[in-house]
Order: sequence, then C-alpha cells, then structure tokens
Amino acid sequence: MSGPRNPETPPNVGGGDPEPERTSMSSLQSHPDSERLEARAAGELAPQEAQALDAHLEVCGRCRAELEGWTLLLAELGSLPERAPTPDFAARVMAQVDVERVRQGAVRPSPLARLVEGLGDPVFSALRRLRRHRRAEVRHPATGAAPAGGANTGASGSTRHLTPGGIQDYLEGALAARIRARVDAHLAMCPGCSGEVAGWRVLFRDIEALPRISPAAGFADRVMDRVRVEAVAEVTARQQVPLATRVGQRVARGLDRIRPRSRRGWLVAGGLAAAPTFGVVAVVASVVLSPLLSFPDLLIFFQWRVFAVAGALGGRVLATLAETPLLHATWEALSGLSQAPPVALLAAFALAAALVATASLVVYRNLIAPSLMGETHAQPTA
Amino acid sequence: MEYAALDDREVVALACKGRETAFRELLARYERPVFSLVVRMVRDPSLAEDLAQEAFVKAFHALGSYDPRYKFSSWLFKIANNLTIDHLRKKQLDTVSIHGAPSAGSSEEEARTSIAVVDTGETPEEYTANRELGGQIEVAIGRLRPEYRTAILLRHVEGHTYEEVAEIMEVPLGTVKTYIHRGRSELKDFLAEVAA
Repeated sequence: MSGPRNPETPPNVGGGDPEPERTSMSSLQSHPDSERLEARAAGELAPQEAQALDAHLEVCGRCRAELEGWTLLLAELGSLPERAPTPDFAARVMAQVDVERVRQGAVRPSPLARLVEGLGDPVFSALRRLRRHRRAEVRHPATGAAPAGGANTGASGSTRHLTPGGIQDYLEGALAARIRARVDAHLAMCPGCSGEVAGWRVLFRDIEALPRISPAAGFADRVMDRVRVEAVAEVTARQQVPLATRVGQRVARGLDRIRPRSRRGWLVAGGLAAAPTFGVVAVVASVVLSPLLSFPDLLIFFQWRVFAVAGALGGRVLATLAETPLLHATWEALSGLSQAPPVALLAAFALAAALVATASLVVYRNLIAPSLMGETHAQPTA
Repeated sequence: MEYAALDDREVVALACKGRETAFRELLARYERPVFSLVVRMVRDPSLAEDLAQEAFVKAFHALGSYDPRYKFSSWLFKIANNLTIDHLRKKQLDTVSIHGAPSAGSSEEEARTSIAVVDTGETPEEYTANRELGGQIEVAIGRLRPEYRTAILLRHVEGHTYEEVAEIMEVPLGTVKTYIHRGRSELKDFLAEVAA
C-alpha cells in the first residue's frame, strides 16, 4: 500500500498531478465472475480467453485481488496430503452393498460402491478435499461472505479470522508489533483472510490514487480580486502590536491630525492654550500677594471648608440610611424582641446559632477542606 | 523572492506584511487540495469553486488570527470544511434520511441525528461531471455521508494524520477513527455490490 501523501509537500502547482492508475467505467462493467477467475488461477482457460482476462486484470485491482485469493486457495488445496481412511472403512461400505445380487447381475452396483471398490483411498481423499474446498469457499471474500469471529488470536492457524476493523488497522500499521506478528502468521496460513486483506489493500490504493482536481483557470485571480491585501496587512499588524502601544499610536495619529499646519495656526493654538493659564495664574497671584491674607490663614480656611463639606456629606448619608424602610423594620423587630418572653428569645438564639453552624460547615467543606487536601485527579476507568 | 524554499508559516508571515505574491503562493499551494475536497463534497464544480473562493477569501482576511503553532493546511481545511458543511446543511432538496450519528445510543437518537442526503437528481451535465471525476470509486465516495467523506478524503487524499483530521473536523479522535473505518467499509461494500 502506498503511503498517504505528505501534507507538508506543496502540491504540484504548474502541471497536473500524474494521473493515477485508475479503473475505467467500461472495464468495471465487465468484471469476470468468480468461476472464470478460479479457472484462470487453475490454468483451465483457453489461451485466447486467458489473454482477454489478463487484459482486464491489468486495469482492475479488485479482480487481481480476487485472483490472488483463488491462487492461494488452490495452492493450499494442491498441497493437501492424501489421507488414509479408518481401517474398517471398506468393510463398512461393503456391508451396505448387496454383493450377491451384483454377482448375479440382477442389479448393477451403485456408482458409490463401484468407486469405493475400485478407487478406495483416493476417493476418500478427494471427498475430503472437496469438503475443505467448499468450506473455504464459503469464507472466501469473493463470494461476499464475511469471515466469522473476531481478531486473529494465534499463529497456529486459528479458526478466528480477521475483522474488517482489524484489517484496516493492520494495513495502516496501527497494530502493536506483537499483534501484527500474530496477524502475519495467520495470514500466512489463511487464504480467506489473505484474499480479504488483498481486497482492502486495493481499496486503500484506489482511494489514495484519487487525483487532486484543479479549479477553473483564473481561480487565483478571482480570489485575489476579493482580497484587500493592504487591509489584511494593516489588521494583522494591529493584532500583533500590544494594546498600550496601539493606544499611544492612535493618540499620536489624532494629535497629528489636529496639529496646526501654519505659523498663524500655531499662534492661535498657543493663544487658546495660554489664555486660561494666564487667568488662573493671575487669580492665585492676587490672592497670595494681598496684604490682608497670609499663607497660614489660607491653609486654615481650606481646612475648614474641607471638614464642613465632609461633615455635610456624612450627615446626609446617615439621614438617608435612617429613612430607609429596611433599617426602620430592623429597628422595629429588635424593639419587639426586647418585649418577647425569655423562652422565645432563647429559641431564636438557638435557631440563629444552628444556622451559623450549618453555614460554617458548608463553607469549610466546599472552600477550605479541598484546598487542604491538595489536587484531585480523575481515576482511570477499568 | 523564491517562495519554493519557504514553508507555509514563513509564507503566511510575508502575506501578513502585505506581500501579494505571498498570497498567490498560498493559493498556488492549496487551490487544488481545497478545491478537490470541496468538489468531492458538493459534487458540483461551479458551486465548489464558489465555496473554495469563499474559503480562501475568509482565510486570507483572517490571517491575523492564524496561530503559527498549528499547520496552516489544517487551519485552511477547517475553514473550507466548515463552509462546505454549512452549505450542505442549508441545502434541503429532496432529502432522504438514512443514518444517525455513529454515537447514537438508541433508535430515537439515531433518527434525531440522521443526516439528510441530498438527492439532486443529476442533470446530464452533472452526470458527465460526476463520471469525469473518476469512475466507481468517485461515485462510491459521493454516496458516503458527508462526515465519512471528509474524513476519508482528508486522511487518504490529503494525507493528514488522524489527529489533524480530528482538529480540522472539530470532533474527538475516536469519532474520526469511527468515521474512517465505517466509511471505508461502506466503500468496500458498495464496490463489491457494483462488481457483483
């Protein structure tokens, strides 16, 4: 399987991507059936038919994979050793054959009896091969039947086959080395799973061979027509400068915008700025230089005014508080309590104490105790 | 300036300084990957071009917010994918609900989270365009639900890692693995069905 493209590698911009190997529509519509592929794997096709099929196989990865599966399967079948039946096999068969009637020619022996008599062990081996062949065929992906069981569990030819998810992980190299080794061992012995993996490999290759598609000519120009490069640069520069610097730059730009551009302008601006200053300086000077006032007298005067203003403000605040309904109601309640019987006062006190204790407990458990116990960590799940 | 030797982050930095050639370099590098993803998602070259254009314009105007600690391609694909998915969600023509979210725990939840597949009823031009996209594998990818399609294209065509695909699609890593496994299984089933 070819690896995925490196995303860091810039795409081939000027020219087109090399056109990947691709299965055309017409070739896909004429896929050979499984029987023909099996015959091809067994070398049973006529030369012309084999040549036509080979031409299809060159462009069709899926059929190649299926052919590979059949080749593996037939290779395994061909390597099966002949097995001898149990010693009493012939006796058990012959017990069901009416030898006397055969001898008298009344009836012809059944085909099975004749085969058993004439061929013996080779027939038994052939039957066993056929049975295994059919069993393997049921599992074979070419027939569409999915292998049963979960992931492969051993290198000893276990009957548990690979799952689709396991195969995908295997092909992506996502399995741990130990599990991968077990899968390799299983694949070496299981043509069904090998064929399945080959099919998945073809799928991976076909997806990765999908070409990148170019937009219509002039795409970049059309994008750039909509991009205001200067604005992007300005916004980016603004985002990269600290806030204080940006504020300073904005103030400087504002001052620059209003600064006088001529000598007359500077004169007018200077006059406007100086006029209030001259006025304030004149007032202060007249007060300080007056023979009726001394500097300590001035300080005492200011001190008296500050205290007067603060006292007036404080009194206003207290008067406002005293007029609020909440304060009035509280005062009334306290007055009522003073007239209540001692038992009721005691009960109220106990209730208040219980409330305070409960609140303290809540605060301790939620705010103070966690900080004393240090950090807590999530426990890993089993 | 020779841009070929610069990596994406350096080109982005130059673009941020107002170099138009840097913008064009980014376009040259990514117009085909982005357009390929979008056109395989919407199956309409004209619409795909509009969406791809929009993705680039949006990305370029937001270059100031790009964090160079991450791959530029992932950031750009995230913008393009979000635009495309938004479009697919808005497009409601002859919708047929087929599947629910892979994480759905009940049939109700599956029904509630099902994705609407748009049956556009191909015009002759669209039919031709679809076939030009490349045979049965393209048709099969077009039949996948959008999440599976995006994940598989980003993983196999663009070569992003699972983590990058998760970042682009803004879904957990496990979800991406589920999308890709299920998507590939559906592709295999579809291709087997066609071959049969």
